[in-house]
Amino acid sequence: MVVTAHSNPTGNNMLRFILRRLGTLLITMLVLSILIFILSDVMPIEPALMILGRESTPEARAALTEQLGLNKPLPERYVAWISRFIQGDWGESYRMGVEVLPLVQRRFTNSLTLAMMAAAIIVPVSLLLGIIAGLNESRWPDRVISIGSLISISIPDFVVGLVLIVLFSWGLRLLPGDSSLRGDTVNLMEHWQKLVLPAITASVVLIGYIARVTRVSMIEVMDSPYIRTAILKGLPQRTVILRHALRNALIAPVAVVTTQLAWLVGGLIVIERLFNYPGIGSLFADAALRNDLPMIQASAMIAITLVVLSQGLADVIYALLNPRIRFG
Amino acid sequence: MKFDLRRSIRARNDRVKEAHSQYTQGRLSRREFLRFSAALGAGAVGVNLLSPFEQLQVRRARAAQGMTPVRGGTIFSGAYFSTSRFDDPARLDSVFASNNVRQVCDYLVTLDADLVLRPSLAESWTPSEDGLTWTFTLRQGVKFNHGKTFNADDVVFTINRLVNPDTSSAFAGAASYVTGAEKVDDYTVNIFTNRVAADFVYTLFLYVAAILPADWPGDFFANPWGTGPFTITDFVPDERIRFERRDDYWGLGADGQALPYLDAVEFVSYQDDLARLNAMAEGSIQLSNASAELREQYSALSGVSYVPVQTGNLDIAVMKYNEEPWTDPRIREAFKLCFDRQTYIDTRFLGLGIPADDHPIAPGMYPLSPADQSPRQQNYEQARQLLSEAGFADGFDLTLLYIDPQSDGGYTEPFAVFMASQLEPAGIRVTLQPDPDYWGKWLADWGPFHLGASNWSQKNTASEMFNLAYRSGAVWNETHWSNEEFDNLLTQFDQELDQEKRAGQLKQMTDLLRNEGPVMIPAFRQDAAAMSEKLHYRLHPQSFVWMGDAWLET
Repeated sequence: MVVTAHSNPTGNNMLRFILRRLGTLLITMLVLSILIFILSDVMPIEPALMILGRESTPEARAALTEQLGLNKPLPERYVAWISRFIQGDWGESYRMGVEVLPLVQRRFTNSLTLAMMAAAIIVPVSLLLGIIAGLNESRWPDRVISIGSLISISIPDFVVGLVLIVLFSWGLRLLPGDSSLRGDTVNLMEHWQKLVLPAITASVVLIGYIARVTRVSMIEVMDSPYIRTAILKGLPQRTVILRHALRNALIAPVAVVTTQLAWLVGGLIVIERLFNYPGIGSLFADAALRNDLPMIQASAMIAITLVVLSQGLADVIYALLNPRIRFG
Repeated sequence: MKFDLRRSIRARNDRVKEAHSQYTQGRLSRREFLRFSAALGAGAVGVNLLSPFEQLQVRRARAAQGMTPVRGGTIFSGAYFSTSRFDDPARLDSVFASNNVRQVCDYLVTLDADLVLRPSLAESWTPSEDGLTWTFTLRQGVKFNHGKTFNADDVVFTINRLVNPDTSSAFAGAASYVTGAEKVDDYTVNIFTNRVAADFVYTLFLYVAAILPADWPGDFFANPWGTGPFTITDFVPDERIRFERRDDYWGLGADGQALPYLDAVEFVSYQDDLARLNAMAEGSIQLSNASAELREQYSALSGVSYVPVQTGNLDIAVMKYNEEPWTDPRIREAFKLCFDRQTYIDTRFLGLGIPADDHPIAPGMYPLSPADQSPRQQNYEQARQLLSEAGFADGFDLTLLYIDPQSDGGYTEPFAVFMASQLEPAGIRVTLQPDPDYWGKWLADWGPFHLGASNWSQKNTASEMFNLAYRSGAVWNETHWSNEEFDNLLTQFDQELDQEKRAGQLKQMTDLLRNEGPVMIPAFRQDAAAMSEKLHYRLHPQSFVWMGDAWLET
């Protein structure tokens, strides 16, 4: 086998890898957008009736249907919808009568802020716990952490949230349990107190999960021949763990964290409800419950983008941590 | 159209006097009498007919509603608020959304928390002798928040817009007999009807009938123009809407200064009962609707009172009158005998409600509503006997259609489950069928051996309720109930101006429904709110929120 010398093989390959990934993502999203449109067309919703109300005359509804172009064939409507969507015209909510895009942007910012706050708790805590447990396999720190993480996974998030509210808000009066922003733009400096309890609630579920993944990964790596060689070579344990074991042990948990980002941004419906935090999850849940078609379409597109992007990010990080992938 | 206003007023005052003599003979309650005179636009005439002692009582009762109000402050309310669209007040489709408009706009009349009709933008009104034309004298010196002076043009604009089918307003259906309005002079307006409608004035307080200025260009989000006590200063859909006081509102407070007392009001959106309770506990809201399930938790909060308020809101079992087995009156009777109404109130609403008598006119919640009710007692023996007489000695199987829990937050399901459990001992076996498209097919025929479960909110008048849902062929007649005697009574009731006769007709109609009707209505529920003890605000039985005269103790 001939290995060609290259000035910067890693960088170039990496760029190509990312571009190829992005291409796949775009195609995935395009296909999914067609699926969404077909599905939303099948839903038994009469837009003109939702906009004009039950009191409207059939003539008025027919006129509006015509005006909205809803009686055109499906492919034509899809092209019109997707091109408007890409240009930032996401339509008007049937239920609220306001523009969808600014509302989604606002809620998305809120959710992203909360997700970042949660991630800032989840990543260090869960990795640390997982590493400690993995290095102390079957000894008491491992037992405590393993059982603790099992418990944290099994408790539903609203129970965690309620306990936190009763403890920190009602009992100690340290933090607010009502995280309503009341129309303000979210601002970490100003609103961090309102974000703490919902962020911890979201963290509890994930910390247990990720700590367990980290633990298993750490145990596997510490058991591998090259680590045993390093230890037998007489390297100090510190060096073995920090310089040799950690990088490989983190591949799996980091990939898991990244794929969970989509859930942290868009999936915290219960937590948003409980703390009355205006995130994007509850906006989408309402849209689905009340047949608010433009909002449903926007939410499905956002959800897909989130999943696809976080999956792509996971791939990239995975590739960075594990060079074998890049040339695969 | 020519008519003699003075003669109309004289005729009207004669009717008030007649009602007063009925009242002194004990045939009409004082509340009914005051309501009647107010509905005819003769509230002051009515009060003046009372004895000085009674007048004192009325005034005391009105004064006792408030101590000396304090000015200033902001109320945060998590109650009765929804941001479903209110871009056109004429097309509002929920009371909650109408509460957003209510702070900004006024109506011609208003129905206060005692359900008594009071003047608002209309100072007085009187029907013509033939009862087909109503003349309204409008309040002077009222300004819209965009600067226009309120006058007859605005009323004519609003009414004609409401009755125009192109507007798609619920007004056109609820008051189909209103044909239009015409300006007499700057502060006098005639509103025309094509039949006598004794309860007409009440329809002017339908939540879609907010008075908009004649130069309103449409889109209430962009142009929230009205004569009301507040203006909208911020609106974030599904989060909050903020209202701030205007300095030039026409209404006067107890201190002789312009209302409102408050500097600002904020409606904050809460989707979750626990989140609302938590906000109340933290003091970040001062008013919150409070479900019966959380009664104890709210009552335990310091500085918070739990206030129940009786409503005419009801759950209803729908028997399609034209379909098997409900065509047989014995089956309908047997069905109604299966239910223990108090058990329903105790288990479903934790005691917050009153038993109902299988008709929708809740006692005390409607003008002229019959006070003496005798809700059926549960009687399985009789029920089984009726069933076997009708040829169903072994009972029958029934499919119960109701609103799917996903669509109504689980409101109807407990009612459906309750019915299934109470019907079983009588041999009626129920299959529950939650349906996400219940409202899509609730007016259709369901086929034999189907039962429905839905719910209705209180209406302003018995006439409104009956004409919407109980007259033969009415738009929302979900049971397909069709009874000639009932229809005739309803027509007479609508056209009769004599209160005693009307009370009799209403009693006959509710009796007909109770004894033969295709509905089982177990209870009228109570709503409840949790309120900061510092907040002085009277809850409205119809969930209307108007903060114009609310105030906060400091």
